[in-house]
Amino acid sequence: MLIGFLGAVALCITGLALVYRSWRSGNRWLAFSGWTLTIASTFAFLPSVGAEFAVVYALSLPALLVWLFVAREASRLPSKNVSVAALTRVNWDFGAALRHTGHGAVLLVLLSVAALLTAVAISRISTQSGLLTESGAAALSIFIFPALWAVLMHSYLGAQRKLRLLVTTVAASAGLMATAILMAAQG
Amino acid sequence: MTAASNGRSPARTLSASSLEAHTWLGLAISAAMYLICLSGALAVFNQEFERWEQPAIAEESAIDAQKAGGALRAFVDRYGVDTEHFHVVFPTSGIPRLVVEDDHRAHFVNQDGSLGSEESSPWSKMLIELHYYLHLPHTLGIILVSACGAMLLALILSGVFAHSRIIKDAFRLRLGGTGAQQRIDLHNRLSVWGLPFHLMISFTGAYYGLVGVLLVVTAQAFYDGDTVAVAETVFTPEPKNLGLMNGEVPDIERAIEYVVKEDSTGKPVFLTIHEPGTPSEFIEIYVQQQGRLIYAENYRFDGAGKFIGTSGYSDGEMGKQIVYSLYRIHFGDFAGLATKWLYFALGMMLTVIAATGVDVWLAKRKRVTALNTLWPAFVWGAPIALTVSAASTILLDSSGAASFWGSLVVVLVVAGRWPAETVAHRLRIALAVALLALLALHTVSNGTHTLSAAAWPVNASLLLTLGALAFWCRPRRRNADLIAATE
Repeated sequence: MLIGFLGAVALCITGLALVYRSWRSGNRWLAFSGWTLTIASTFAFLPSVGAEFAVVYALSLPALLVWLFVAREASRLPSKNVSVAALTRVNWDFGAALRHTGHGAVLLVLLSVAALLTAVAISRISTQSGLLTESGAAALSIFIFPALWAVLMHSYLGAQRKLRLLVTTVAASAGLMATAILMAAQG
Repeated sequence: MTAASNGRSPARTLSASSLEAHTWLGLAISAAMYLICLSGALAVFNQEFERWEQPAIAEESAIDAQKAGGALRAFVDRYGVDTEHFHVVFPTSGIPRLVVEDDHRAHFVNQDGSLGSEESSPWSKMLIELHYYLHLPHTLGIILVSACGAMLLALILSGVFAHSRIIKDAFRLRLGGTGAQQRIDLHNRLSVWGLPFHLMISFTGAYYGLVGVLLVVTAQAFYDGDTVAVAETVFTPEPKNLGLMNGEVPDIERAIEYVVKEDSTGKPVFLTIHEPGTPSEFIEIYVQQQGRLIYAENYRFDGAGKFIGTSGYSDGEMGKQIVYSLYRIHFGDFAGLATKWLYFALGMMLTVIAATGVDVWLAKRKRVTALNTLWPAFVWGAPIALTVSAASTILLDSSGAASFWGSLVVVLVVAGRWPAETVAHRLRIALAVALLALLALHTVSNGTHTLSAAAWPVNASLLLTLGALAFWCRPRRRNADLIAATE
């Protein structure tokens, strides 16, 4: 079991080594082979730890193992003295503070409610239409809710026209929820 | 007007707007995120910390049904049945000790089967409370912490789109200089390569608080407000009307023997008697399954120890299995100590990402304010506060939360007067001193038990951390120059 596990780790390291070499040389075939080996290490973990643990290891281990190559690539910049700037007072801009608080409220309340309603509606519609079982839909909504909320937060903060995005989002989530309620009412 | 006609490429626009979103979100939750990540990385070893807090307790590895039954009866004789649950935690749970408990207290069981000392691990509990709730009221705390999980997802998304050199810089690490480039490279390399792990942690972390909100909204919209009915679509309903109502302690020996015989490859974690002395009474044994991420398969028995059935978490619907796997995926509580170390290392990397993110923002600003001092004071003050709180629980048998926040405030006030460039260096030395004091205190308090199997792994880790800090803080020309220049 241990040998199998170490073999899978070795395969993952080999894959990352090829990715590193391709990054240095710009060779696409090496990159392809490297990523293929790294992904293949998931299957190499299977015999020793089973499918479920294998996926977790294959997703997590490269984050640690890659430092073998990042450390190889590390360079040292010429040492510079930190210029010690004079301490300045914090200038409180109440307008800016109010604006940021408003953004915070939109993110935490409005967008979370929109994401929540959308997740519940999608989950309900997928059960009503027979696509998923009740537990499958529940699991789906557990993933959709934070993912959608994250996408909305990212879109809102980066948007030039924030109000338009908000109105569209709220309308879409309300529409989906209304559809789900109507479908449920019709049985 | 399009982005292109505006003189900006769409990619540049996306990158710039994503960076804006990344900065806003990062700064908004930086302190909370740092504490959640730091406490979460440490909480991976929560079982080890619990053992370390009471190192003198006798340990065992095998399950003895007769001993567990006798201990439960002794517990009921002493404290009565004024509780909604009794639990028996088995030595195979990850902590090699037999424990009997109700909703109010817990006792270890001695080798001879008698009740031993009361379980007391205030620091471990404080650490968990910090990670789950940030020491806020539980409902508010868990929702806020879970919201941070969703925000971490948004940070990941905006970080990926903001990083226009994600491939070009994939292996680059430029150390030295003023330290600014080093922090940027560290932040980006840790973030990009750890991405799958960070996604796993943020999704599973968001679940705990947000699932309650999902439950309530679904119940209100589609189940006439019946939250139990919604929960039962995923979690197997509890059996009804199985209570014997004869005033006797349920026959847990028979139930344990059944599980040990029928599921020989499984690892029983604990046993619960639900609503003892009522018609709803039943016994449930949680058995971890080899190679599976589900928390456990639950074996259910009536009060006489007669097998009723399993909850079907190991072979039920896929959705049910996924939901029941989230806990172990989040905490790395599977496949032993090696996985715990992996999760700890990756958790600490996420902690470094949270810390360096603000460092990068501070370095890019053109001015120096009190924040330049307070942020490193907070970053290094938090582990100092954790160490001080651990020491205070040994000295005062307190909860640890008050000493954690008290010492963090003291660090912020004291370090707030220091020049920004010296704060981190000085607080690293303070952390080393605090760790040394904690080790000394643990040794004085527990005598030879400080070297017992229950305590030495944590003490050795503390000693190694101390060594690493001493190495980091060793007198170097640059440090000396820096301190001389600022003083």
